[in-house]
Amino acid sequence: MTVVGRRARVGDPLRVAVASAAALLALLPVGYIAVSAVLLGPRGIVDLVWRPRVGELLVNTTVLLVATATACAVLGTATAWVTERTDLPGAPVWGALFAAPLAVPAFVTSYAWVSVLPGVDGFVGALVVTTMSYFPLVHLPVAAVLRGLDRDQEDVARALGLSAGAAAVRVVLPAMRPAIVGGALLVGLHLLAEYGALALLRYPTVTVAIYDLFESTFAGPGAIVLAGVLVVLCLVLLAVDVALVGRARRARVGSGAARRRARTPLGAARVPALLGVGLLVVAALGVPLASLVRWLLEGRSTTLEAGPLLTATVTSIGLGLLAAAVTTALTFPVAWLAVRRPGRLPRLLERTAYLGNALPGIVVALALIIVAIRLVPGLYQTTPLLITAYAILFMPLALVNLRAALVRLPPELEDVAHGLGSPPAAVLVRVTAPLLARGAGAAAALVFLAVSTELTATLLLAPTGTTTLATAFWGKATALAYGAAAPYAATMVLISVPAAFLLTRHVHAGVRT
Amino acid sequence: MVVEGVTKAFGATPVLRGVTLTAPPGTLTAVLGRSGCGKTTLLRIVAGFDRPDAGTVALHGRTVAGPGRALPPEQRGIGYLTQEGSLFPHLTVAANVLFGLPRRERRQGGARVAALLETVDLAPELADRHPHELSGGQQQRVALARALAPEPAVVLLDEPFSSLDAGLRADTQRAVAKALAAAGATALLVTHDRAEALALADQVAVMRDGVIAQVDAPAAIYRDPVDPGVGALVGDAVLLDGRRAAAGRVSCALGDLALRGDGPDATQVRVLVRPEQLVVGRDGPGVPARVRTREFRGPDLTVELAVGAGAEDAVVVAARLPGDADVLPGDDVTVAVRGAVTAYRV
Repeated sequence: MTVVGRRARVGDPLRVAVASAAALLALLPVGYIAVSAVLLGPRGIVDLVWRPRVGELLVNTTVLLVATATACAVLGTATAWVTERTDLPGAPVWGALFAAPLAVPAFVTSYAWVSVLPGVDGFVGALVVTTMSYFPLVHLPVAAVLRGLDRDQEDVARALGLSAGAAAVRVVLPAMRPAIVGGALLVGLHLLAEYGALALLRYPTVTVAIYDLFESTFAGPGAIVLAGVLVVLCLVLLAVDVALVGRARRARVGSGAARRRARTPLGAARVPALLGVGLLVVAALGVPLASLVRWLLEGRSTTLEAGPLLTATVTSIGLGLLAAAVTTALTFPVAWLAVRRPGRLPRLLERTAYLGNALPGIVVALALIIVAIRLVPGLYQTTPLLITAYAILFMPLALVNLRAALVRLPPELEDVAHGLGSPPAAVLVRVTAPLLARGAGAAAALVFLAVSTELTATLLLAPTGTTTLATAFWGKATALAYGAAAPYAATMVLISVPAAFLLTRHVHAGVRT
Repeated sequence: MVVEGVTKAFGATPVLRGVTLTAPPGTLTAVLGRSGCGKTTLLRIVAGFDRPDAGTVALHGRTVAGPGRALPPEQRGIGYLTQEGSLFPHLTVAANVLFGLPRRERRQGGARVAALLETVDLAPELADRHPHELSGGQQQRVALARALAPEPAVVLLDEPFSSLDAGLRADTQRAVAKALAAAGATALLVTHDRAEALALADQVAVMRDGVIAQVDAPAAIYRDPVDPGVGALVGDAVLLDGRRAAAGRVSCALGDLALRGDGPDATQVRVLVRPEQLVVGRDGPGVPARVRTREFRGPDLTVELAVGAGAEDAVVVAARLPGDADVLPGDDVTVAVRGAVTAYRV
């Protein structure tokens, strides 16, 4: 007999309070935009939005979003299929290589292309760079589905008289669809949030325009209205996600013993396939890495700034650690309530905490700046405000990991410990914490790594004199000092490698880096 | 352990509707019921994981839950055994067993662990293993050793044998019963397995729809259930419509039978016969019947018998016979009833 429901127990009010604070924090940017919209009134909004420039930005953004999402969906599905289901020589190695671009921040990839081929810009440049950066977001979940898919289903389809191709279309493709659509929408969210890569390529999207407006007019109504437009675009993507894949994703069959079986022989297509995956790896990994190495070597002969590089590395690591600790601590009660006290309020708090997943860094930063200036002017350009922005942006990363760890921890263990005479605090220390250590560690690590390569919010919020690896790189890259920027980019890539590895396990949960 | 008038609802769904139950010190009480009857909720309330909406719970003379008062589980001095054992996966067997002891006693380690493992018939060599290296039965025994280590006055067992396979179950049940008796603890065992309840318990409490329908010694509740429902819950039952004839006698499809006690004060009654009371023979005493099906189980076999002349309105009863009984479907036999039966008002 299962437990029907549970009443609140000692310690719950504190958890509810912290979880509510976390949710309110996540709600702050959207709330601020909404309040501003009301204050501006319909006329004010129309005046600010109904402009040729805004229309241009929207067209730019939408065209690039659709093109990149489509390209990533096609490429990611193809690479997943080829590496998981065919006899492509060296398939596991290719699979790992297709996940690797996640270790290179998009703005570094963009820098790599621009600095080597200055002609690469505008729509085509943006499409190439974003597709090369983001197609792993489709590849990974689709490959995971293909790996976990019960291959008996295909056998049954074949036994029912379907050809191999027909079985793939009628059985395998429907199973992959949620992963493909979910991955493509994740690409869309990344693209809406992207500033650095597109600014370097001189392709103005809404996000790029918000940053430029902020530079020239600070947090004027123009920037706020554009941020509102951006939030609406993000919410549209989320709505599409819920409508198309929400249900399907939940209904998906979980793990299951992965059974080795015959892969589809490529036959005569083997050579073209090898050429194709080779070319893709060259474009997605070879170009950025080669360019980075080239600038590293060149920069070495001119200027080597060991001191500033060290300072920026230490700053990035320090901010990352602080943000990881704060975010994990803030998120734990949300995850705990969602898992241990399922109900309307915990579910609402959890959903709200996931909001940061869909919010571009620029929106969060802008909202925090304005709220801070209005309410607590002393907070503007301080580390606490920066950490707050990181917490809002990266709570979902922590939440997914903590939740998964808590789900694996049977509640009876805590009950048994209580029964053996341990008060709640002792249960936390002696049972819950040791068993959650790995999950919490993964949560903190992902937040740490995301923070150490975060650019947009850091540019807007970093205290004067605080330079991270990302902002130092950005300052040099935008000043066309490509050689001087390279060591910072290389350091970020080195720090990101473990993040990419961790993400390969979590990306299909629908979490943005 | 005394539970009095405990009620509990989850939202609008009442789960316990006034449960009253007394477990004498040092005995094992089995709460038997179908899933969803509220027995696990009762256990969780006694443990302190849930609070009753009304009513009181007293453990060894101290009220631990009552109006405006609820002692947290860690202060109740209970042992708690779950379905899966719930060993802490990050700790060794030794650390699990010592978990509930004060820090000072935990340091003594070795000898104490060996002694505790011995109470549940486990070898001391297991102490350094981790839970995943143990079989299901071993895990349950370690869990019991862990529960008994702080010497609780009350031990609560939540279907602790249901996840074990049949062979392990009997052994583990024996070991648990022995260890509980040796510890002298008052035990409350929640189960849906009637054989387990009857075999292990000093008293059986049958729970139905959130109330205790009957509490009695295993033999008494099996022989003399308060109503046909309880009768069918504690054992296989043949239920027949009957007519009360003379005092102490009832007539039904199986003939004119002796009643246990006076029986109810009514003419139309429902008669409860246990399958093993049916004596099947060839040309023996009793009423004629025809064998419909035969289900062989090794030591015994179960046959379905159509009793009565006409096939249309025949009454079908199940009887248990020795495994070597020579009957086949289609055979004509006679069936008589051994011992007294129980009758209920319709």
